[in-house]
Amino acid sequence: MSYQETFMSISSDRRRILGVVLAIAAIVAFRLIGHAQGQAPARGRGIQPNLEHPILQIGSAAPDFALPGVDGKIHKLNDYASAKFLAVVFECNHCPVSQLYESRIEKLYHDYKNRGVAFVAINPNNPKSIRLNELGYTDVTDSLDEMKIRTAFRRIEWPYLYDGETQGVSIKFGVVATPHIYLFDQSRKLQYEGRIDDNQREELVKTQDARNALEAMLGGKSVPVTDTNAFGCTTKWMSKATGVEEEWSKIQAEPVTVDTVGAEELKKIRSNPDKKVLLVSFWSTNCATCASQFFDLETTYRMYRLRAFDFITIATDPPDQAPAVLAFLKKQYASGPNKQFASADLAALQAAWGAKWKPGTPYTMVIGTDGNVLYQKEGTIDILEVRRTILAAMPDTKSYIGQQAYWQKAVSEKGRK
Amino acid sequence: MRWLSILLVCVAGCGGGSSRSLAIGSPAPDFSLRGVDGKTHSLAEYASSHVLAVVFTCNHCPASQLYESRLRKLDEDYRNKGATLIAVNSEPADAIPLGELAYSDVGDSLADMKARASQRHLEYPYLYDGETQALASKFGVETMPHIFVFDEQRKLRYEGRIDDNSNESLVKTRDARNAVDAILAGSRVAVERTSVSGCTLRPTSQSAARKEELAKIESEPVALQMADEATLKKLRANPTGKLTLVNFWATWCGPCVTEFPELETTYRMYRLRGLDFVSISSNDPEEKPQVIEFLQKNHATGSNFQFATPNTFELQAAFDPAMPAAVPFTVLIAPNGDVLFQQLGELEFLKLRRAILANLPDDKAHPGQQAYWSAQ
Repeated sequence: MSYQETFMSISSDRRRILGVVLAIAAIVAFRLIGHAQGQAPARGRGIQPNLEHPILQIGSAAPDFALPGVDGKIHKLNDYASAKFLAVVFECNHCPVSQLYESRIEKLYHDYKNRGVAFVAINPNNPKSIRLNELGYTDVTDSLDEMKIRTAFRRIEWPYLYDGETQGVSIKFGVVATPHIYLFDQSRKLQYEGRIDDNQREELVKTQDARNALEAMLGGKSVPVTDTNAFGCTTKWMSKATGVEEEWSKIQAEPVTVDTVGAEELKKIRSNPDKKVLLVSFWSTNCATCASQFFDLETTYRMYRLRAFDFITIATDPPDQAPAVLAFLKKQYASGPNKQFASADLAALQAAWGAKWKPGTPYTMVIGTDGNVLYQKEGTIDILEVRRTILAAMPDTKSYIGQQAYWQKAVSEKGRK
Repeated sequence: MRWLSILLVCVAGCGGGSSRSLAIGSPAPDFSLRGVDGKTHSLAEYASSHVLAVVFTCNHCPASQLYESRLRKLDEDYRNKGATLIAVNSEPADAIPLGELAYSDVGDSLADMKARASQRHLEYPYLYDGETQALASKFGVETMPHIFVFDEQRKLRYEGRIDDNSNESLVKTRDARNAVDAILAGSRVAVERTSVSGCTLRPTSQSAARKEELAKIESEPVALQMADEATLKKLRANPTGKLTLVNFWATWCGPCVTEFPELETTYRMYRLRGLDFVSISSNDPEEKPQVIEFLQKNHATGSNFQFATPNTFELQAAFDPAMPAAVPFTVLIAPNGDVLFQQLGELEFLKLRRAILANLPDDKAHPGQQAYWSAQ
């Protein structure tokens, strides 16, 4: 009988015990043959548990922690000692799966906070391990400051702690992905770990695993299913190569070019024939505000360019300024499509575009897939507002069902109490 | 395989060394080449050595790989006796088609040479000549490995093979060692020229070879099938008789999308040796148009699947109840279903390629390959 058949043929309670035995055997084997995750295990074996950061076993004591929260305070395990049960959910800002579970975590929090369950969210990721091209579904990345921004924007009420500095707590929990939930009983022994429910799309959920576990615990019964697989974005372990520097060297090596643009082509760009969400930035070399916000716009392009998104920069400088325009763009590694006005007649070109702005100020626009103007601003932009507008405009079928709804709701709920 | 044809020709009987090879008695051609140590090296640097041996070799050539440990030993044995060994790689890295990297984890760029030197602990200087091949043409090198041994006056005393068999256990005559020994002893080199077998050096005139290969790959059809539980179970069991690389990914997953082109490159390197590549998208079935668009953009000519239902967890369990749910997740499966390599999260490609190479069976033309890659 193979390992696989053995594993399948025994009852589920025993699978946990066998799982422990196998995990120990695997660790012993790992020591003997020096193989680990990311290397070839010995022949004759199935898929192994992650030996680098094993998942906390059911029945284990809650690992202690002392982590900074978005409220500016340090949160410790003991701070939650008065709560009957403790739910620790690992989530983060940038992961689209995590985002889709935000409202479900919120409901869990509200439904159980008065029934004696304390909720603590922990972000396991260090933003230095996350590349720009992994930020395609987010306005911010995973730093503590940006967790504060997300918390304020989404009015998140539960504690949200940052473990990205050392990942020490996440290692103790063996966080596989975001989201990954752990439920502890009154003596702070682990009773459930894994997914929150069985489908990324809330409308298709059949089994509410985390709720089922909590209800069992509150009813003094044993948890029916104690461990499930956590689906989502894999934890960004700092110990692994991140590719962040390689990404930046590649960006720096991309060619930077500028084409001139006349009235007719401006009209064409404005009509958005490619039907992607289009960010357009009018700028000039004699505009300090333009220079100061250019980097954020380029970063936005690098975050979303793998999706149905385009970014065009249009310099309003007269044609004789072409060398200065190119020099500035090169300094910014502006590798997207760059244009410069083909004539010095600013008024005529603005008329072709259909908008007016003061010379020497930036003018920024987001155009939707249907050609509608979703955002326009003369002067200083709020880059997060720009990003959220873009995220809410990118269609679902091109990305991840539920994403557009998340951002549309987020943007429209900006004023919710 | 170019190497195979050369080998067969030579088995049938090769004459002396290449007619274009540097003539015995010629002075050592000067050079100034960058090495894996990041420094530029020139002939004058080795002036104090009694003997200078220059071997033309490369990363991707299976024959070169089989001689690697012998070169390392040659360097170790003679370093303190006044002989210096220098290795030169003249392959035009960007021009080599991916299909010719079927026996290698890396290509032949200087960065690739650094990776090889560090993995295999190569201590002798390893210099890159592939940009211009100027040194290879001065030496008249056409095949690798090819060794040239110079005396104290830097006159050529021996050129040709390292020894008489690429299978080390069958070697009878160690020609290069004999030459070095003779020069150090102040005696005549008995055999001055021998024939060379191995891989043909790709001339820079064939710089478009990689691009032509890519154009061909890009014209191949890209197909996507929907995978139900039965399909996934079958993929896990791997009844194909082939080594199979399986990658679970999603369009919304940053690490997945970033590593996908390298997975395709890996497949293109080894597919002629029988590696299968299966991509399985965890995207919701409704997101199919985006999955197809992505696969087409990446010219994903392997087998591509997408989950047939939104019941992600059930489909994952059908593939393997022990698999983690998060993406990306990659497994290398043996023809009998054994898992030979697994990675949750982004791949480190050199580790993956070395696992593939250590598990691809030797073919008759390239004995010793699996052993080379299985050695740590």
